[in-house]
Amino acid sequence: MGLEPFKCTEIRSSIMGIPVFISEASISWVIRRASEGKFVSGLDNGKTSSWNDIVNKTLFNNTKKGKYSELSMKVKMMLKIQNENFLPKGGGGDQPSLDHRVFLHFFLTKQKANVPKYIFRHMIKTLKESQTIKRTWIPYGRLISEILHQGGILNALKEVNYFTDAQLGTVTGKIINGSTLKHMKLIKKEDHRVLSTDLKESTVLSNLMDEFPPICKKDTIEVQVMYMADHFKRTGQTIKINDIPEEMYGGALPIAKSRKSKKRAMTEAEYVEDDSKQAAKKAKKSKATTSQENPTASDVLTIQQEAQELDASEVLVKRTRSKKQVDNAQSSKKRKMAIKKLRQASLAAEDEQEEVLKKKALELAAQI
Amino acid sequence: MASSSSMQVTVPSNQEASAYKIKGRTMSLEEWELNVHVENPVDFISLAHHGCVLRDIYHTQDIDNYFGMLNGPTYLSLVRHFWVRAQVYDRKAAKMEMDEKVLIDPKL
Repeated sequence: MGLEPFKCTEIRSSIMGIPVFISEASISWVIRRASEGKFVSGLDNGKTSSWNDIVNKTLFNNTKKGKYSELSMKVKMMLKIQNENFLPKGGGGDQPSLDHRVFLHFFLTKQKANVPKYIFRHMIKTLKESQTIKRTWIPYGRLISEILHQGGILNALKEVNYFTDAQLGTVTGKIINGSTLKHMKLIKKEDHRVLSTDLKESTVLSNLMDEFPPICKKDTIEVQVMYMADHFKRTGQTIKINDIPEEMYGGALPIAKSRKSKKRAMTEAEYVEDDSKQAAKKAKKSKATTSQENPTASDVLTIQQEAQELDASEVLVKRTRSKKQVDNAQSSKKRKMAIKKLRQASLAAEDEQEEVLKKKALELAAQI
Repeated sequence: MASSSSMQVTVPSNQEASAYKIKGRTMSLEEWELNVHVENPVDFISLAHHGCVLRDIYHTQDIDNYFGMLNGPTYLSLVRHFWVRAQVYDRKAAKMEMDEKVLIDPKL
């Protein structure tokens, strides 16, 4: 008939046309846990089920069903973890259904439960709710992301184009730790300690972009635009200004500290001093050449030149340690100054170019 | 068979069918209407420090890897994209698929 034989129940979908199937087996593979153990589902919440007695015994150590407030701290926390990670409910966490209580009972009594099956069944249940009663809620965001990741979807997307975390809406879940206990009022506020070993939310975002632009919003706009233009020239691909991250991945810029001191604005006095230094150097050079050609010329040095020379040498002695360093420093400074001046001159022209480029980039973005 | 019409479109019915078939949506919800629940990683050390020792319990369930996996990126856009196109393919859907084939070509 041309049909594949029915193997197992699957959730079938696609990302950008690439088929993605999720089954119990794929969940079990992603979380590296065999799909085995006890599984009980679809229990009636009425009082007739024989499970009631068993569960009440475990949870409340009583034959009757107790209230949430009667649970021990440990059980409350486990219920919280279950509501967040295993069978997410999206509310009403303190009123677990019988299914939820049985699942908790397995954990508490250390009987192995079939976690992948529970997760898969729960996923199907919520998917059907979305389709039939328009429930606007998706469970297992992280698990589905991991399945997509391990299924090679992210690699496929990477080959197609640049996708940034902003476009993918990348987030990391909140961590359950001591402060959660505090918020749940399970421990006193003053008992809460922040430990050095505390788990940090993963900052390792997707490695979608191999050559991620080494720029961020903290860079000056000129740097960003120049980089974008350069990147376009090199690779023919555009980077949208919105895609530039607010911060470098991994937090602060590694060079942020040294940059600050270098970028310190020059005072007027310094600027003048620099100029005079350069003039002095020129004078010195001319003096050297002239003295070789014509020894008498040195006698005709003007007082002005002498004063400049004096000034320069004085400043240099004050500022540097050895003569070698002086020369190096001066030449490099001179180069820097020259570059700076060139830049200033071209900046005006570039400004116009940048405007055009920006417009172009925006147009491109709109087209995409 | 009203509901099966969407099945026909979305299920890759035979081997010759292109693997890159674009699936239609399976729900009337828009992607931006959906809220994604992101799981919470658990810091067992911090919990144990505050008198809530749980690691053993989860260790017996053999789901340490699961907790390790939780502390990672969630791609909200991709998850929403996945969800609105997802459909459950179970025995019932397979049966429907077969019935449809038979309906088209009764010789089968």
